[in-house]
This record gives sequence, C-alpha cells and structure tokens, in this order.
Amino acid sequence: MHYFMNILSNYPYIFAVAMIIIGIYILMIEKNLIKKVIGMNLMQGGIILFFVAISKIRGGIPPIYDIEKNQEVIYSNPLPHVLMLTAIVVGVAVTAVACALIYIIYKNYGTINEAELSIINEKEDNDHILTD
Amino acid sequence: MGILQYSFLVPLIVIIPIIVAVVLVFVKNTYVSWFATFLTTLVVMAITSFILIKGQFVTVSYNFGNFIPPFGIEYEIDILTIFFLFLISAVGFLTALWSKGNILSEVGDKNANFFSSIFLLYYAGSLGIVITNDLFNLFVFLEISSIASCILVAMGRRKNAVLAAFDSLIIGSISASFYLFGVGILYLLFCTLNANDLVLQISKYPMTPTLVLAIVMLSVGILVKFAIFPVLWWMPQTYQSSPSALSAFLAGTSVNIALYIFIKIIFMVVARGVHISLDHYFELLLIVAVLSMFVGGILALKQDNLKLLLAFSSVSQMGAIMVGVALFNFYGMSSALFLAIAHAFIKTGLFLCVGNLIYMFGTEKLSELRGFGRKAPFTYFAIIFLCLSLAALPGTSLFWGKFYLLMSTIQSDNWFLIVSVVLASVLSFMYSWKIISQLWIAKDNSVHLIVMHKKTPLYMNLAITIVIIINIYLTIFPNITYYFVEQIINLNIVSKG
Repeated sequence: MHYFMNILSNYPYIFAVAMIIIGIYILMIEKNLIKKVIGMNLMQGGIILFFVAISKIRGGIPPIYDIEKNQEVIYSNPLPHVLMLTAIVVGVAVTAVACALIYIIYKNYGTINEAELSIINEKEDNDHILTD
Repeated sequence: MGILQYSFLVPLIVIIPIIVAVVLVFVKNTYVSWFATFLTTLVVMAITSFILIKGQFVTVSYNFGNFIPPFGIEYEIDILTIFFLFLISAVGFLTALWSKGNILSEVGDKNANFFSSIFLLYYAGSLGIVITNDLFNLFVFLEISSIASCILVAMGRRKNAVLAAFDSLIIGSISASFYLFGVGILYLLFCTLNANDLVLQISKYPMTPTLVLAIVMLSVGILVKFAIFPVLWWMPQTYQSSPSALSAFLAGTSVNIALYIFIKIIFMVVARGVHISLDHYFELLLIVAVLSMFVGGILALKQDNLKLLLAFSSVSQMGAIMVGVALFNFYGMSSALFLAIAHAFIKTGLFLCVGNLIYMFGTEKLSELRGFGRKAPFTYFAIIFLCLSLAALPGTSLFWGKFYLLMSTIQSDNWFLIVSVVLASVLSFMYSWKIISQLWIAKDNSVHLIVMHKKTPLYMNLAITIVIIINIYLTIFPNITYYFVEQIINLNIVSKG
C-alpha cells in the first residue's frame, strides 16, 4: 500500500509518460497529417511536463530571494522552467513549419491523407525537376 | 599559452553564419547572397583550420557570460570536436562554392536568397551541435538544423519534395524529443547539463533502471537521426527530392553529426562513467548495424535513380561505420572515424557530380544518362574516380578504412562479423560498378538521345576538383589522418575510460 501511495504521489510523471506514449501512438497510427502534428505536439507536451515536474522539490518555495525569511528555506529548481521556455519556442517553430508544409501539400495534391498521398505519389514522375 | 588566447574565436564559428543568415533574408540579389554565403563558409573554415593547426591537442573552451562551466553554457573544442568541425566546415564550403548554378536551376530565382540564408542557418546548426558542450544547447541546435534542413528540402522543385520535407521534419522532431527526454532523465539524476561534469557525476553513481532508461532514450533519439536499419526510409527520400547542393551537404554532414553525438554521449559520457559492462548493448548495436549494411546495399543495387542509389549506399556505409563503433575497441573506433571522413568526402563529391548532371542534362536516371561521357568528360571521369573509391578498390581512401575495419573485426574474433563486412564490401563494389558500367556502356542510338542543355560553369567544376584532390590526399597519405584519428581515440576514450 505504501508503495502504491508512493507511485500515486508522483502522478505528474505518470501523466507525462502517458502523454508521450499517446503522442507516439498517434504519430504511428494516424494517416491524417494534421493529426500527426497534434501527436507530435502531445509528445513534446509530455516532455515539457516531465521537465517541469522534476523541478518541483517537496516543501520548496518559489525561487525568489527574500531577505526577511530564514536562510534555510528550500527553493524549487528554476532551471528546468527556463529550459522548457526554449523547448516550447522550438516546438512552436516546428509546428508552424509543419502546418505550412501541410498547406502546400494540400494545394499540390488535394488531400492530406497519407495513404492517398502515397498512392498519388507512386504515379508521379519524381525523377525530374519541374520547369516553370 | 598559444591557442588559449584565441578562445574568443570559438563562439564566432557559430555566431557569424547566424548573423549573415539573418541579414541575407533581406537581400534580394541572388549573386550577392551566394557570394556572402561563400565568404561566410570560407571565414568559418579559416577559423577552424587556424584552431586545428595552431593547437592540435589543446582543449580550447569559451564560457558564455563568464559563468564557470557546470553552470553556464560552455563551448569546447577538443581534438574530437575539431575533427568533425573541420569536416563539416570543409563540406559546407565546397557545397557553398558549388551551389550558385544549382540554386538557379533547382530552386529558382524566387527563393534563391532564402535558400542561401537557410543554408547558412543549417550550417550554423550543424557546427553548433558539434561545438557545444551543453546537452540542452545541443538539443536546440539539433532542432535548428532539423527545421532548416526540412525547409531547404521543401524548396526543391521535384514533385515529392514537400512530402519528403514533412517526413524528415516529423522524424527529426521525434528524434529530438527522445533525445530531450533522455537529457531530462539525466538532469533528474545528476542536476547537471555540462558533458564534462556529467562524466564525474555518473561515475559516482550506481547503475539503476532509471539510468538505463536514459541511455535507451538517448540511443533511440540519436540512432533515428543516424538512419540505422529499422528507420532508414526517410533518409533516401530526403536526399533524392532535395536540391543537389543540399543533398551533397546532407550526405557529407548529417550522418556524421549523428555519429559525433553518438560518440560524445554514449562513449565519452555514459560508457566512461557507468559501472556495468555495456556488452549486450553493443551486441544489439552490431546486429542492427550489420542489418543496415545489407539492407542499404541490396536496395542500392535495385535503384535506377542515381541519387536514390547513392543515398541507399550511404545507409550501407553508415552501417559499416556503426560496426566499427559498436566493436568498442581501439581499432574499431579509429577505423570508424577514418571511414566517416573518407565516406563524407566521396559522397559529397558524388552528389556534386550528380548535381552537375542534373544541371547539364536535366535528369538523374541512370537509364537516361547512358553514354553521356562524350559530352561531359570532366564530370564523367570525376564520377568514375569517386565510384572506384566508393567501391573500396585497393589503394583508395575508403579501402584503407575498410581494411582497418576488417582488421578490428578479425581482432574481435567474431566470424559472423568478418564475413558480413566482406560481403557488404562486395555489395558496395557491385553498386558502384553498376553506376560505372551503366554510364560507360552506350548503345549507339542512346548517345544521340541525351540532350545537353548548358555547360557547367567553372566554379562548379572547381569544387569537384577540390573534393577529388582531398580524396587523392586521403588515398596517398591515409597514415596522417589515421594517426590523427588514433590520437582522438587515445585522448578521449582510452585514457579517460
């Protein structure tokens, strides 16, 4: 029972890993390209949640220096939050590029379903560059 | 003394290309943007050559904001780093020199200045991955180079370019996510992101399942980028559909970057610190590497598209390099590094030659290119020389790498490995011979069928000539490079391990 409670009290890690696994599952199973991008975002979200969870220290207070408080207070670790700000920006950039590519794919092929795209793509001539 | 007072040069290697890349977005003149790219790559290569010559075995580092290493971001150039930095900057310089005509024919006037700008961004990202000593910073550069390369692929004018770009973006993002998860677990355990500090922390720590999970996540992330056997399909597609300048640059650098990250993270950080033997891990790697050697070689034999053939051959050669790495002994590692540099220059040269063919004849299919030799003798002989090198014919640069690899497999006393390395070499000879024979044999009517649109300009041939000179150098004096590689292994893995 104690072991079980120990796992339950670390619930952010369970959520993080669940999000990563669901993200990978969507990436592998879904044929729709937009849903693939959503799966990718879920996966990144899970990792961001994981980083935020490891920065929390039990009994720790926000890492703002206060001269009136006792010197022996425990601060939470601020570094993972800073790292994740960068990771979120990177994730947004990847999503933006992916959405732009999906837009071009839809304009060129008229579909964003991967199965249909591969059928169309096999018939195309991909060996020569297009001329204007 | 000496080199240490030049440590201010270290961050410039990454910063100069990024600044020029941002400025070039606003430049509309194709010639100016190409010339700026060329100059930037030349300057970066000059800086790396300077550091290479001035201080071979001295570690130069630069701390951003003067934070003492475990706390701030640290850029460090040691002997392994300078090896890969020189490789990447040289390949980038050659492709930048070559790329002008190719940009006009395969990207088009409209996107030409964006191509130069994002090419430099990719260049900076690749150099940043190698130069940084901070694991999270490495992730950021990984994503920069992944996004930049996918935009460059999408600029190609083939029909499937956008699809290939989307696939490579998804794959790059998955690999970076796995890597980041692994770094997160390492940070959870050791509270540090600096590679040098991490080695110290790991060696004080007992082996736990959490650390195993971190190693698995990091390896998956890096090996996806490496295009090893089960996930190799994205790479040939990317190489085939992108503009040839990018294909050449990717062929020379992207897999070598993955090799560098693998050596850095798995060997120099994890394997040096942990207390259990990683034998089973390396056995698994050997199996995957042998499989990718054969799958790449057999698929290369079946291709009619020259770029696809070369890309599958890259998969096969990467498998051979991985065999050397996974043997995890002195000769294996040094042969892997030697193979990496020899293969990078051969593949870059071959992709540049294919780019020449596309520029002249507008096609990359072997069956349509039969007997082009009489119309473009320079490109023809360049392809023959580079193909003979790719076939690892005795006396060529790749032969020495394969020879050292075979010696190390014999040393490991594993008959299965010896046979597979020999068989894979036979396969590589077969697909190289396929290129040579298809281009040599010309039916009388096919000579007249092929139409030459325009001649290649001088600078394109000049870039290929430089690649061939480097290959001849590696062919005649393999011992100089091999001695350098041995020093890398001695200093980084054996003595500290």
